[in-house]
Amino acid sequence: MNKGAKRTLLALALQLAALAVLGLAVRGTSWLDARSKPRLLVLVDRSQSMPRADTDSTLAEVVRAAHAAGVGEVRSLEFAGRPAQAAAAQTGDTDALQPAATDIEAALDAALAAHAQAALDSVVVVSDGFENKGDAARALRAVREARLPLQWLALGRPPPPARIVEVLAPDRAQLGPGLQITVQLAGQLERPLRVKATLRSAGGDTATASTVTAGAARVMLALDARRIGAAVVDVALEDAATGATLDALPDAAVIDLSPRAAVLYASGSRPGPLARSLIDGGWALKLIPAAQLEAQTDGLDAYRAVVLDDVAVSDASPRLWNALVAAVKDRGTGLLVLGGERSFARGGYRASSLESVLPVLSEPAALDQPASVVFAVDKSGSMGRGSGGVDRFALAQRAVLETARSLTERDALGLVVFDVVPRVLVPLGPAAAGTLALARDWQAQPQGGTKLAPALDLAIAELESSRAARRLLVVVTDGFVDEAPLAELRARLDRARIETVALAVGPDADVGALERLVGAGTGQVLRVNQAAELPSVMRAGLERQRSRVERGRITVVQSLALPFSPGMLQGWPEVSAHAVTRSRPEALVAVQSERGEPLIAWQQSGRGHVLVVTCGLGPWAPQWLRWRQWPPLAGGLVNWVSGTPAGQAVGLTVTDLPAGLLVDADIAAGALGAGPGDVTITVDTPTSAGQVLATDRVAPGRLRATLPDAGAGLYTFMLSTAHGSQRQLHLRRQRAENAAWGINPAVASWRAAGLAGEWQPGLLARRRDDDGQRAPDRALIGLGLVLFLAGVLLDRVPLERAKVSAALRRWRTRA
Amino acid sequence: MLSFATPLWLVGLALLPVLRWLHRGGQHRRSVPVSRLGLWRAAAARPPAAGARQPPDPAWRRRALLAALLFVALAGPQWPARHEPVTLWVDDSLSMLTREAQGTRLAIGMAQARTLLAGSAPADVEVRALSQPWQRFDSASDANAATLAASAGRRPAQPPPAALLRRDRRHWLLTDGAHAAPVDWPGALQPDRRIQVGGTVRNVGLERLSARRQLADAGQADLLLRVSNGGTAAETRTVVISGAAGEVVRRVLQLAPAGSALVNAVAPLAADVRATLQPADALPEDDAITLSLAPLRKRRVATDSTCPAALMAAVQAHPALALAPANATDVQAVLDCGALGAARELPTLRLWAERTPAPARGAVQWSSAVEGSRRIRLDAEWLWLAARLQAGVADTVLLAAGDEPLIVSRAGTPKRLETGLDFAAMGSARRAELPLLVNLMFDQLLGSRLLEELALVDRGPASSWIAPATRAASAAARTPTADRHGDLRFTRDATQPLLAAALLVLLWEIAALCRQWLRLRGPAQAGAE
Repeated sequence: MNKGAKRTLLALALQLAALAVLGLAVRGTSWLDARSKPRLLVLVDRSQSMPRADTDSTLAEVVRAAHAAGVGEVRSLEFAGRPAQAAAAQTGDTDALQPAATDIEAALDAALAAHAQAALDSVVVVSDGFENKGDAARALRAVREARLPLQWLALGRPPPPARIVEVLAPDRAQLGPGLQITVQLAGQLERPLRVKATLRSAGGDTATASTVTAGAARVMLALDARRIGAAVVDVALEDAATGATLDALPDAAVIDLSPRAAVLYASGSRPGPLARSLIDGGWALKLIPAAQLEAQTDGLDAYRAVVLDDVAVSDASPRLWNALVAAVKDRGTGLLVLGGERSFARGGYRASSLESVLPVLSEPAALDQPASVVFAVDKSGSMGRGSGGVDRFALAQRAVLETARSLTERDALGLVVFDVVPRVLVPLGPAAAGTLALARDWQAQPQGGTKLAPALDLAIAELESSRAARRLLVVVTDGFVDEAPLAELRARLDRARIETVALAVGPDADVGALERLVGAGTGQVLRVNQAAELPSVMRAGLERQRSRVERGRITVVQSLALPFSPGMLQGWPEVSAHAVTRSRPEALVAVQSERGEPLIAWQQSGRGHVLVVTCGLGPWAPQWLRWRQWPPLAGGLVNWVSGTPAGQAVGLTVTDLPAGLLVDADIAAGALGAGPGDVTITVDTPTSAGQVLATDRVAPGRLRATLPDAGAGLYTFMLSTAHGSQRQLHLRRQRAENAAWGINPAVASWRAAGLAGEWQPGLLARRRDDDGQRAPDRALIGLGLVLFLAGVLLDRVPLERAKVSAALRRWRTRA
Repeated sequence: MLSFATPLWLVGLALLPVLRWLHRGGQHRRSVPVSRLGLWRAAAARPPAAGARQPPDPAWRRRALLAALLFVALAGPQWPARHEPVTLWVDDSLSMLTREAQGTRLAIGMAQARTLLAGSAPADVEVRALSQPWQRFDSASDANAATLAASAGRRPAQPPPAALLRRDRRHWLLTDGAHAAPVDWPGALQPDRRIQVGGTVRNVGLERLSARRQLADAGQADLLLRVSNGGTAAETRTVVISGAAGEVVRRVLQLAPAGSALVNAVAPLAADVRATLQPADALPEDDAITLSLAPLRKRRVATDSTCPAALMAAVQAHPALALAPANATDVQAVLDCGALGAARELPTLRLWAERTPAPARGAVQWSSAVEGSRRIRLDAEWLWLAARLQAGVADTVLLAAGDEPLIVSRAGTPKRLETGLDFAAMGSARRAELPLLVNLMFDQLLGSRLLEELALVDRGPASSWIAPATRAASAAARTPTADRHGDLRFTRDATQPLLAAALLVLLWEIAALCRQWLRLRGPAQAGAE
């Protein structure tokens, strides 16, 4: 082969090489041109939870690994509470990034924006994964949709040498010392460590407890709970020698603190079966006789509910009743009123402040029946002005007059005064005329002894002439009843259907004789220790006597679900009596007599739940106590009025989401009326109070609401339905950036879900398939050009070996 | 106008005269015939000036062309784009599947978009769905339209992310205007072109079907169906809900415009349930809904037969749990009271009994790992313990009484809960807390809320709306994205075509060299012979 052919062959080989190189360039092969090499963006977490030095070295390592893997361009973007601008190098200025927070979502969004401007081949995130802003998972899904490979290089601070692992606390507790919490520690625990716990109430009160330990992994602390309501527990771990804080866990737990006695139970007679059941059921009960109710006037706020078991209004002063009404209406104290001989109309509830919050009015139908009332007033000498200056007879006159004024136009009245001889001062006649007569001078002076029998004979005779539906005899005496044929008189009273109210005035009154006269059935004996009370006692006594208590075998009918679970009970036993009342229009009557008179009724009075049982839960309903439904009935009644959850009837579930809270309310089928309109959910957030949530009925018995994030702290939810309410505390925790360490477990879950990959430097060299959008590798084009030109040169410039050798020799010689 | 990314490379064009020089004609190209080689020395060649200079080798033009192409390619030529790149944003709400006379709104819209794009012949078209904006399609083809239609309505359509509203692209929007989100673009922007489709305004749709297990009868599910009138006229529809055993509810509904109604039903928990609307309307996709009740089926628990009867009874009575033999394989959890032997790779609840049962001491304390709403009221005096658990650093004490752990969640997978509670002793009290405690433990073990589980298909509150909303006022205040472009020029990289041309020229050059080699090789071989 001649030289020309050889040269041409070499030139041909060079051109073929150029062809191959340019072919690679057209195909998109990357070689030396950075533009055609994989592009990498490194997101660097610069929040306070990240170790600065380790982060720097890790970033440097990532850059080295990327370059070693053939990545052309490595850009870094620092972020914390917000992302910085993408930069080819670290900025070092972290303050502008809000390092006290971490918003991974914002950083990933910034990466996507950069990717949209100039395609990236992969993203590496250097972070511990702890976030307190945004929703990293959502952004990771967007990155996956964008088909942008993402590797997560998890890096976090090492845990402190000694640390708090967990805090265990009760979710509910009663006020007082000895509220126990347990702090679980880990790490190097050999040296003396101080564990300090602080109980913070909403009102700003704090209680602190601390203990020094060495070597113990579990430490118990006792706190002094002094304020009702939600309280948040903060825990800190300190070096006992230096006082330096080693670890802290703010918002470790929330505890709902309630009064030591959650229910105040006032009993007008012996404590009833309900009280015993509640005590047996573990209720925190403060049990007092009705006479001591007055002493609770200033302490009602300490109770979630008050139970009045056969309590009369006269058992306490108006101040107590006003305080109770205010507690119910304004502060949501529950009220359960149980019927009995001393309650409702008989207890003087009519027109009282107590009645203003009750779902029933103490207005029995019997009050509308016309009655004939004869007053028999003792005018013996002892009724006159005594040594104390009290004129009992004058007070008796006033009492009769005031009582007469309470009678209606359909009533009739008469007056008999007596000492040893009785005398009709006002014959039985229309009440209006009789009242006018009573208002005039009685023409009687207290003198002489006391003989009851003739007076009663005269009064009975007067009443027997009456056609009124009811006949009532009011006897006022302060003397000793002797020689009176009590049994005979009582029989005569019974035959004439006369109901007797006897007022025994002063300490000398023969109460025993009067009780034998009146008997236990239809009448009553009222003691009047202070003569000044005589007008009010007489009036109330007559009113109570006129009010009716339905007696007999009374069939019980349930017409409406009770406001607690189970709403409907089967097989209600009969009751033997109940106070006859009339329900308010706004009240709900679940259980009633066959005649339609309320037995169990309730209403919401202001913020409080009020429920009445007119037949009581005692002697008038003996069969109820043996009924198999007694436990749920007794517990449910008190549960409902005290506003505590009734088992699973109402459930409120609060779930933390990155963007807020998801609230699910489960309403049992029996307790659910319809939908959102029947149920309200209000919430107090760390930044607002009384916010009402819009609910959506997403499933049978399930209402759902969402609450935008209002920051870390205590959220108090109140779910209210017509059947009850439930309070739920929720502590939204965000551990401070400077208190976080380790890796967020969520990183592992993101990896498991395919949202993030493990750190694999070898994968960084992979170019993302971006549909040929990249420019060809300029280095390859240049190489192709060089090869081509070399071929041309070789073809055009004959290089003979001798000439070349000579030229080299000449060059060497010159050199 | 042509521009270059790195024009410095154009300096290389100065080499072209050198190339020509290399191919110059002249003396060195002349042949001098002599009879003997010895006469060569005496031969007197005429100087170049003695005659006409020969033309250069025509190959120089080809080579110069190739070199020029490569130098220009290195300079990164940018051609002015005749047509701007377009991003077509497609509203893939369910309403886009509404049938119009010519087909679905989506198909009609995509056809319109194709026509418009063909008319303007854009160089670069990308199609993005508003429900998945980060996913990119490279054309408005029928295939891509079919892909979009297949996923329409599955996720809510959102406004385009600001990051994708690039200034160097035109942004078109294909929508029916039935929903606000697709047209509420960030930064008060509005699309450069809006392709509005759809004229039908009457539709009733099934918005949501949900089911819950009945607590009283675990074999039944309570259903709740929400039906919405998404049109502009009052409508009457018959709703039919069917289960495995056939029809469970049929109800006629009168629905005012934008009104909705709830339908309750009860169906066996055995299979899926399906709700349909009759008659069907312009959007048949929302006239039927199928709900799988599988999430509500009971979890089978492989149970150690030596477990206390009270515990077994509580599991048996649990609406979401079912007892299974200890060796059963199709189970989701294991209840181990010490007789099961080797641990299985399943969530396991382990009961320990190592000492004489004794009542727990101290107040009940909860871990923060147990949500407040899951906690139950427990009386410490009711709790009896038959073992003392030790919790490791990585373990979580879920419940404790005083300093004694009652329920411990062990670190690692599968999940393992251990308790020292004595259910035999506690069961004798027959208190309601026992089943609640069992439920709590299995909640924690299985990571779910067993008593509150839902099966749910939710298309969203406005899924049945198909009538376009009036948005003239809001649109007037918006800025077309085109206004943001200003003097921005849309260019297109021309390196690839230049390289392609260079490759062709290079092939030509190679062919020429091949011919040359053959020509030169021929005489040499002849001389050798």
